[in-house]
Amino acid sequence: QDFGETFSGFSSSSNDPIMVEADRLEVRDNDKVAIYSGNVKVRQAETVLETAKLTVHYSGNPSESLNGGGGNGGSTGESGGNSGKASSNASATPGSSITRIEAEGGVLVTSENRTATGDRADFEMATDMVTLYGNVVLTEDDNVLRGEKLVVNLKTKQAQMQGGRVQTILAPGSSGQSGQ
Amino acid sequence: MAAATATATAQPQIFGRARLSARDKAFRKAKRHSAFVRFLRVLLPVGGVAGIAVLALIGQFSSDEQFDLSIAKTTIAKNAIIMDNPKLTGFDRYDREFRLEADRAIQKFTSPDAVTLENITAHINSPGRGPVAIDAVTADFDNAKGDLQMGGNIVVDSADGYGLTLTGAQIDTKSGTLKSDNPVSITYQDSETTGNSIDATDGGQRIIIQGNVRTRIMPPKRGQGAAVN
Repeated sequence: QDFGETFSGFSSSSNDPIMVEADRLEVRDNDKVAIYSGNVKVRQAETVLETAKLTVHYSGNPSESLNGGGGNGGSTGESGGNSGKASSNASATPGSSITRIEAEGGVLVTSENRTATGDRADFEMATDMVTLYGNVVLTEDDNVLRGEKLVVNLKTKQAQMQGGRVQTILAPGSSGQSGQ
Repeated sequence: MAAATATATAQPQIFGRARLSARDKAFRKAKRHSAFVRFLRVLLPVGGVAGIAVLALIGQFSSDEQFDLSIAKTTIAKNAIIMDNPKLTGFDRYDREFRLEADRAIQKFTSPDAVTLENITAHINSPGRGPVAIDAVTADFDNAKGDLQMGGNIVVDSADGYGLTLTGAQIDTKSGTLKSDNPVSITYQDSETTGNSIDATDGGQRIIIQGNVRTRIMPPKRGQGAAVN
């Protein structure tokens, strides 16, 4: 099984657009966070992540030389994705402004015939690593892998299940190799 | 004090709170503080999507800016002063160059602290930032309450890559809030976020978009053939 593939869609090196759907978006520019809540769905290519709350941390520059004065700093209610602030030099690529994404309140990731569920997940953009925590269950067709923590390298698709009693239930007739 | 130099073809005789009587002194004071002039200053900061963020700065406007105010024609109607094609250009204390014009400005005698503007266009250039353009269909500004009601389509477009479109907005210039219960779209570089309503507070530092929130993010373009669909 290639459980790492479950997250195959989510990678900052992908060329596919990312669609985020939610009931509500709150951008708190002072804290540099954009919080999607309520039926949150993130879709990129074939991969869909569903969760209750998605918190996007972004860097972005402070509202340029506002020195308490005018100027057009300030955030937009912009997307969580590229929500880097209008930095003083417009060249800052927005894509690079997201630093971390947290999904809480239950996480379900589906990609073709694979699923991954857990209590919460963290995406670290700098390292392209995603970690799924708590009651982690991975499935691929009829094969199931349970554990406490799953760490996936989105670039190499390497996945490592850690913690708890890793329990692998292999459906009869599937190849014996575990997702370790 | 602000020097409003009226350079219109027709010398604007009276505007602001003054009556037609010979109260020149009150008139000159009124001229400088008329709701219209104060309105134009208020609208300046609504520059750029981040303009929402700058609303909080409105209160920091002092009156030592220098600007030119030109009015094509001023008409004293029965109950209002009507200014055709008012234009305000100049620099504010943050060295932002602005040009702001409207088809008409209407100031009723019964509410001298309020002014209505039609078809507003504003251009703002901030040091180190791209120019920002704002278009709005109508704006009713009540200077006493600091209440700005903008009607019709509002389009804010910045060369820094962000834009905002919405229909109708209520802006409280004193507390720096903007609210609209109509669909809103905010674009930033390669992404767009839409929703059914927007509620911005703290001068835009905190923005809530509710209902059908959709964000579409195009990944940054990478080298050749970056497939962008």
